[in-house]
Amino acid sequence: MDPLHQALQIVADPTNLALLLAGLSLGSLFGVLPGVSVLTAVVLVLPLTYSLTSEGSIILLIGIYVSGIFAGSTTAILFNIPGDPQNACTAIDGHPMTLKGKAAKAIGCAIISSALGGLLGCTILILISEQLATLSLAFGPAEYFALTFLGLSVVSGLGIGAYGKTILSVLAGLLLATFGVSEVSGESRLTFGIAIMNSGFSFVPVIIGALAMSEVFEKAGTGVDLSQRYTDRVFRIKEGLPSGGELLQMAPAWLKGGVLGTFIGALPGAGATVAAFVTYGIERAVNKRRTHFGTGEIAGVAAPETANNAAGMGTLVPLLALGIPGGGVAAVMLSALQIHGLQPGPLMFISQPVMVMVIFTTCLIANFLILCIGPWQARYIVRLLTLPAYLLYPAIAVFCAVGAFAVNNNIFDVWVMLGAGLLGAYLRTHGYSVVALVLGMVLGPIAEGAFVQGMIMFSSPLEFLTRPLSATMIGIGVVFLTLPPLVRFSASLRGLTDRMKLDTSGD
Amino acid sequence: MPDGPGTLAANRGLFAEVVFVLAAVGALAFELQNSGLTVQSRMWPLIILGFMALTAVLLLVSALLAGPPDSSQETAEEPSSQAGRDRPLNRYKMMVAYAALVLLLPHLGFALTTMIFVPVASLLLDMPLRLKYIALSLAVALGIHMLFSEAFSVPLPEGPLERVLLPF
Repeated sequence: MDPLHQALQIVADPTNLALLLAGLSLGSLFGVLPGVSVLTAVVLVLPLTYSLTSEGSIILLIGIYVSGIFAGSTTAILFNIPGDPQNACTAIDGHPMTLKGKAAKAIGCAIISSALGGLLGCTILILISEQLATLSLAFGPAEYFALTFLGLSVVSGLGIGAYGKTILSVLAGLLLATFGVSEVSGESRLTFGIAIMNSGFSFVPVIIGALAMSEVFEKAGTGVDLSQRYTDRVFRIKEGLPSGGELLQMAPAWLKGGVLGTFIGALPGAGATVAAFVTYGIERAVNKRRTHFGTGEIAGVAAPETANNAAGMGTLVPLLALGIPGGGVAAVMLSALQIHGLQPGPLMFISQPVMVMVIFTTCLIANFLILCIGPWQARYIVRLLTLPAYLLYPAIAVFCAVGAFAVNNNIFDVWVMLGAGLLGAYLRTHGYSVVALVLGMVLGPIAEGAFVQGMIMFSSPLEFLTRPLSATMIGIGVVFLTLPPLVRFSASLRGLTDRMKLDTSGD
Repeated sequence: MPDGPGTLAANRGLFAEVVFVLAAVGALAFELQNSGLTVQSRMWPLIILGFMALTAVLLLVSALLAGPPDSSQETAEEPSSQAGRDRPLNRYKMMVAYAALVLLLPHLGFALTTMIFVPVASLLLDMPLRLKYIALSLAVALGIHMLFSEAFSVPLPEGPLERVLLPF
């Protein structure tokens, strides 16, 4: 039986279908709750996957991921409170539509756009990931180093937060990955004579602490009480269906969002938030009705919602094709696969073709099911916004402790998770990037291994630039790294010349 | 041009962070150089430490040249996603409570520790002090324990007291 048929049988298994529906529901729940991101949801569910099959784990995580990306749009539209940063752009035109009495129309548009974006992204994922995987078989250490450099440069250049602080966060993540026994030489580094430090900092407890616990610490300091804001804004499907004219208005936004979103998402480190902002900005600049943007324009909802779901699929491209996670959630999926003894990358297409097909099939079905989950979520799940924070956050904290302990059945990992949580809370409140720290930690071992191997092969680091592909990727990475300070420098130069012109004209 | 003392005072937090980073970089570099490691093992972390020191210094210089920090530029990780009532003390209460949970976990076991932690943390986060809410928080703790230990068979730490008080 060919891999596709086997994959369809696996996904159609009642247990796995139940896991997919559970994942879609959990993703909706976490996506809707402000203060609990879809990344937190995926991290919290990770320990539950230890007792599942590898296929079941991935199906559950994909379900959470796909519906979680979309779910935050509901609160963005209804209450001007995005459930996740990738839904922030949706609020710009979505909430004004609510104020004009068109909430159902906005939510309907968001549901359709998200499903289309995800399906388009998934199609591109299926078309290009195997080709990219084949191409990557020719990758040597120089190319892998260049790719990780590109990913970390994109995070640094495009990351939310202060530029210099994001770079420091990336470097801190790279440094954390060096503690313990070196994978390259087998020697213990930075263990300070403590035996338990030989294993270094496990990736999963650091992720749980830095991403989930830090969010709990931060949000515990802000009282969440939306119960008074929830009025009877009941979603009715008929009111949510767009007219023919509205479909024509949204179509160009769907196309731009789908294609751009997928390719931005495929850039390691870029992610759904960047894709949503970039696509919204472009749509706002080129749309015929651009003067209406910000006042409740339907294309202003369609563009970011298409882009963020497409980017969600795009982040799986480097994970599957190269074994390099494109973002935080992909990094967690990498952990989930590794826990079950699977290693994503080009060889996975040869050694585990059924698993690859399961991922593709699940992504397609999950994105299609948004059309069913969306209306249900808008009617019922949004009521969960009245859940009190004093129960929610302690419960999440307990989940985090379990998740950290269950990796190696070791209390040390729970301490690591606590430390990462405190560090993450500090970083969040002082303008540093926690996602950059995590990506640095994930990509660090890959970058170090490739760099050291390259240095053994070549006589000088400059020889990394003699190979065309690695030179191109390093060049693009340098552009991303230097763009923000150059833009700031040219803006300050322009300001200076404007002031000089004013001074001379005043004379 | 910014005022020198005013700028330094305004960037006090950043100055402290940079000093901390430079001190940590120095200490770690010293440890690496004196631990008898081969060049292959030392090279990568030393490169990272070098870039960290450089970035920290450039960050401070750039902040001093730019003037007092603009709070609209240096934002936290995510855009503010809600307008809630700010209670910063709750943040620290949660941290202390959680540290206590981690300390007690190996001694009391998971079930007992969470049954203490969840109600206490909820009360610290302004849960009303009423029997029904405390019972609810205990139910949440027990529910999570049953979910992981029974439904998903995830091994959880057991303390000596737990075996006596909670034989199930």
